[in-house]
Amino acid sequence: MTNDFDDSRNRKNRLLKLLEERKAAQEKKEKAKKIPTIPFSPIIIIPQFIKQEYKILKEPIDSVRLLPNGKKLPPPFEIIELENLLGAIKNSFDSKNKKTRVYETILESALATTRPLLELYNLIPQIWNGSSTAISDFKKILDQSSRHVGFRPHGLKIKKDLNFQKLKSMADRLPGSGGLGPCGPIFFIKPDVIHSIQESIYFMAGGNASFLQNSMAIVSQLWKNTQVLDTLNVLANRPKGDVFPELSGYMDRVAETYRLEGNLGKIEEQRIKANRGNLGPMQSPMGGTWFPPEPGFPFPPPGPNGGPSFPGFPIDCQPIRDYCQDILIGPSRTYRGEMPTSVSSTEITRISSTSVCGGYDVIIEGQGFGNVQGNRGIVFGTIEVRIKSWSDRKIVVTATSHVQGTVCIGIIDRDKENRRKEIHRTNQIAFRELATAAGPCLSMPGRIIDLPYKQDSPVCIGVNQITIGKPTIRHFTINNAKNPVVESGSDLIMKWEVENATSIRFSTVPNPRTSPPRNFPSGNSLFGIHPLGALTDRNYIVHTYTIEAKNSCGTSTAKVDVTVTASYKLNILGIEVTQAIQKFNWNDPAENNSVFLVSNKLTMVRVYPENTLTNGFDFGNGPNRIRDVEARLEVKYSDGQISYFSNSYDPSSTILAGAESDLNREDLSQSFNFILPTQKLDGTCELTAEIFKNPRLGLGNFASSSTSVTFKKTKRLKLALILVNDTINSLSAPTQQDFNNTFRLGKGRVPIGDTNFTIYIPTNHREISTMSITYLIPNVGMISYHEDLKTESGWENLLDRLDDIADDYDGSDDVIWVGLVPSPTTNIYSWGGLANYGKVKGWFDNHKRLLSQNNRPGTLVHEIAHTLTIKHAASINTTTNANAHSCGSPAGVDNSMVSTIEDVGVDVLRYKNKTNSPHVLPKGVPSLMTYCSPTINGKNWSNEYSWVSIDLWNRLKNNF
Amino acid sequence: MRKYTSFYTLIGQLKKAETRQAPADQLQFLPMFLKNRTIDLGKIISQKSDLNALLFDKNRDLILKIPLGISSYCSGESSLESKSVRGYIPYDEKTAKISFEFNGRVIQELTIPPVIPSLIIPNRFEKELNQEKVELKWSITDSQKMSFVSKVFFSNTDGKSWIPVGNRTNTNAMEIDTRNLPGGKSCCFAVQISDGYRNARVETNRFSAPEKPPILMIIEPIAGAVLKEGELIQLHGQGFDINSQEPILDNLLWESSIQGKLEMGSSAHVKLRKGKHKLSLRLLETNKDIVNSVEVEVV
Repeated sequence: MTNDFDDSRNRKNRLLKLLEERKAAQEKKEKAKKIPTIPFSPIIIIPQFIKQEYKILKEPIDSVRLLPNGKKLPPPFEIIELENLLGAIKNSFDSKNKKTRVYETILESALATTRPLLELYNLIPQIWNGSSTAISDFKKILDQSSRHVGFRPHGLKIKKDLNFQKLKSMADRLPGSGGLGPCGPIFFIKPDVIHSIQESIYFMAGGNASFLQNSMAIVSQLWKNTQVLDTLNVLANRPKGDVFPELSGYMDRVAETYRLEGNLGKIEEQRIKANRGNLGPMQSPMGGTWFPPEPGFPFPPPGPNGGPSFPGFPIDCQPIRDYCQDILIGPSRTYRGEMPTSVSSTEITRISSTSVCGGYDVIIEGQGFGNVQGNRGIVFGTIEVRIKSWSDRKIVVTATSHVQGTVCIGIIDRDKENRRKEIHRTNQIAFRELATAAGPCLSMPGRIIDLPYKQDSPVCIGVNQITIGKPTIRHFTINNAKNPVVESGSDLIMKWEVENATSIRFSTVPNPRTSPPRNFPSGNSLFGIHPLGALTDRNYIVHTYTIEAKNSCGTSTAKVDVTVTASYKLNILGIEVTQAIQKFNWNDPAENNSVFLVSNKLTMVRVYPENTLTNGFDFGNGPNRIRDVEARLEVKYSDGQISYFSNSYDPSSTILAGAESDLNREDLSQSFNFILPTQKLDGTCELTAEIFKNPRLGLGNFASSSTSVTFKKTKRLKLALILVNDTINSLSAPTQQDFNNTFRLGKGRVPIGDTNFTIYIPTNHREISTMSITYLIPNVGMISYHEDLKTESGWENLLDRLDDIADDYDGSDDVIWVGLVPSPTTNIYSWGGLANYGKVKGWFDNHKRLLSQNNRPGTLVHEIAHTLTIKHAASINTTTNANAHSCGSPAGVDNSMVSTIEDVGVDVLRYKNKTNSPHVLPKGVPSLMTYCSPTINGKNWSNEYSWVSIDLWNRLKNNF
Repeated sequence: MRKYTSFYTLIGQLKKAETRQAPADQLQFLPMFLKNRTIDLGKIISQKSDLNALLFDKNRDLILKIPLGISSYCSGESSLESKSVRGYIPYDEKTAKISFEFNGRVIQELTIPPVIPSLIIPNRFEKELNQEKVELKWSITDSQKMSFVSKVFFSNTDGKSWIPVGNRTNTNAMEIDTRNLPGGKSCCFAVQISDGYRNARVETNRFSAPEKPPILMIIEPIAGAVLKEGELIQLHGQGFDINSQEPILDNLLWESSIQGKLEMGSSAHVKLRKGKHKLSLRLLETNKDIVNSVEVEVV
């Protein structure tokens, strides 16, 4: 097949011409025969036996044609009905109504795609009856139809590469091009089924081109698989005398259908045979139904084993038939067609007043009203009014206050109106059924537009026009909008248009904080354009402007809300990557993110937003602050993989973006904070952040920035853990889990990967007890050795025992021996922790060892630092440093160490877990190696919350 | 220089005078135990220290001068009283006296009797050690009638490596829980005694002990943790082989009571569905089912 669009316009014109001719012919026919309105069916009535024998169908074809000899094909009755309905709907509905247009589309499509097939099918009975004319017409139609294959209704081109997703989703139900599906590649589907599917698609699409294309792909597939035209063509071109042998025994098959229905007797069978060629309805032998069944009745049941009723014919695709049967049934049974006119106005010649208030009388003059009102009334537009008197030439009514503005008066015939409603009701049911069936059949959304009812209204003929009630405000806008959003500083231009008013007044509601521009015009002009002045507000505020229009009937008002806003742009000031502490300064970005980053360690990315507001405009969050800004982060890892993060941690996904000068790094709520999963943090990672206000790509509301950082591995930390049971002071030993938790909270301050540590277990000393023992050493004397942790010597002795044990285990010198002692509820111990200074001399003291109280993560890290030869940092002056509230005096101070942290620290784990402890450690907080306790945001904390300085971070990293 | 293979480990504290009447400085040290070590003595001797151990023979001739390490506890370096002393003093059979000099002044002297104490362990173990508790006893014979401190050791490698059992003790017996001991085909106990300097050591007969299962530890998440659905959750755990005294970081499988098998490895990141999970760490490739679990809740 080839596509042929060359004469599509001509065909369209021919179609329209034919429609007009058919409509005229039908009107003439109706007048002549006075045929009552027949319920319309968009589904073509096709003889049942033909339905059974459709082998295959082809792609939808267009065109209404004249035979080559100029003879018009007698249109099938059903097609005329279709055309009538189309014309009726076009006339009765507002052409701008979208729903009506959709409906027209369906009907036009039905005409365009079904006609050739229907004509062919209608010819077949005549062929069977030996009509050579019918055979000739059949071939001609086929020839012409074949040439026109490829035309699509409304110019819709179905491309081969259409998205077949819909079809795939139905693969289990519908056959595919590769023979998939329940019926394989060869099957036959009744053309009216396919036709109905196609109708449904147009109906459902509602003008959505992509939806239409996707859905039509399914129909295209169905047409291709059925290939009905090809088959019919083959049949039509067989030698004379051998025409349609496959169909010659059709009556037998009809009989079989009866037999399958269960109650067919010989008499009925013979009667049917005797009526060969009579395809009209007949009483069903089963009683109560008609045969052949009318469209919408259930199809005959299948033959044995679910196969075809007629041997030798391909399988009717049962799933599709089942699936789509409702499409046939619903609309075909209920559709009624055109709705009659119920309101007239041509009888009216004059009305007593062209402008009245509600409640006043109006005299309608004319002729032919009739002396009796009967079941008629007067409508103002679509509203019925009370009738005071009725005569053939004069009707007095009372104007209703329910109508305002200018309307036309008419006479309504309630009987016609009721018929109109009844037809609409049945039409509406048909629409709903069509939609209901189309949903499951085509996997389409179930929510379908409803067929609207439009009440009939009088035609305006000039003399029946009246203006009623209060003034009508046709237009009232500011800056051409009902509720404009206006930039601060902009001028306001007011526009109005009023009808039926005697006076006009404008006003605005003064705001306590500001005064909106109010240069209102004087006079009572019913329309105009007027400048109000410039907005001077610096706040996000709404001004309400009101117009009041008065006449003798009353006052009408309208309001416009003017929202004051300010434009701005978003920027990203910087992207900070921190694990515990980081250098970051947007005034000196050279050293940003220069603090060593450890591979596979919990890491937070802070994205600092900025906006360009500088005029102090307040959106309600303080001057120059923008709310509801969102952020995303893209991380490209060293292996090339990319992850996206859209959910920053608290403060959720929205944030206030202030100007640069307002940003404070010590406030975590002023940055978008993304916590990265640790497992891929190794090597160089590229970070790209974007911030935006929805809509994301809105003008000026989007900014992005990139940076790259490198994560490097550090040595694995080896810890030999001994749990200390303090029998001297009756305190139970901590557990392994206690250690896990303590170290979990502390390791954020140590430059190691989150899991880059190993725990060694001294098999026979997993738990030891404090003890007191006395040694008598010759010449030396008694040595009393006790491990009472209430005394300093007790701590020292216990620490020595750790060394003794380590020595007996042949512990290697890179293992840190950790004795975790209990944490008393009252502070009875001399120390929180104790450690030796690693290899001070560098030649002997080879067992790094420490003691630390349980649940003191800061102390544990402090002591670990000691085992790595790191000494204390000097105390700080708490009177001059607001970030510390108390300090001890440590021994062994290394004056080269810094005592307060050099930049902003973040406890990422506590922040992630939203604990109540400080998440941000402001610059100036005491270093972990002091004996000082921090004050953070005015609150005093224990020295457990002192933090790692950059200096300490680097020393730890270098000493591993 | 003579090559020494056995060294005493000196663990002590250098104490400053507590009162004006007391000796100026004291060296308090634990009874020293002898241990075979490979040590570069020349490197030690080349060090300089304020505290030295001087080894003299019976003729008061100096055999060796051994610098001792002085380090500080973090609690005090200059202002506090004590310093930590460590040293390796080589065993020389000619040593008759050790003088400890601090800044050139003798602050402690140790006279070493010429006789060696004898030590006997009467216990005789079956070929296979099956009992959970062992009462190990030993007897000491010393003509000097000194008091001794004992250490007990255990070897599962036919004496090639040792681990300590229990604490230093003044008694001559120790009840040992064998369930904590590593297993092996050739195991034995050893007792070593010291009166400060003089040592004696005796090993028991060899026996086999059953190998012990590895210990599995779940480090993260902690038991009872409340975790968030949809977040990557850090799993971290490890094993420790008692028999080889080595950590186990491979062949570890994480499982969830709700989601089944999760990940392999010492550490992993997973997303857990809502609910109460029993997270298990399982060691594969062992004959026994070694598993440890924690319960967490995902909300």
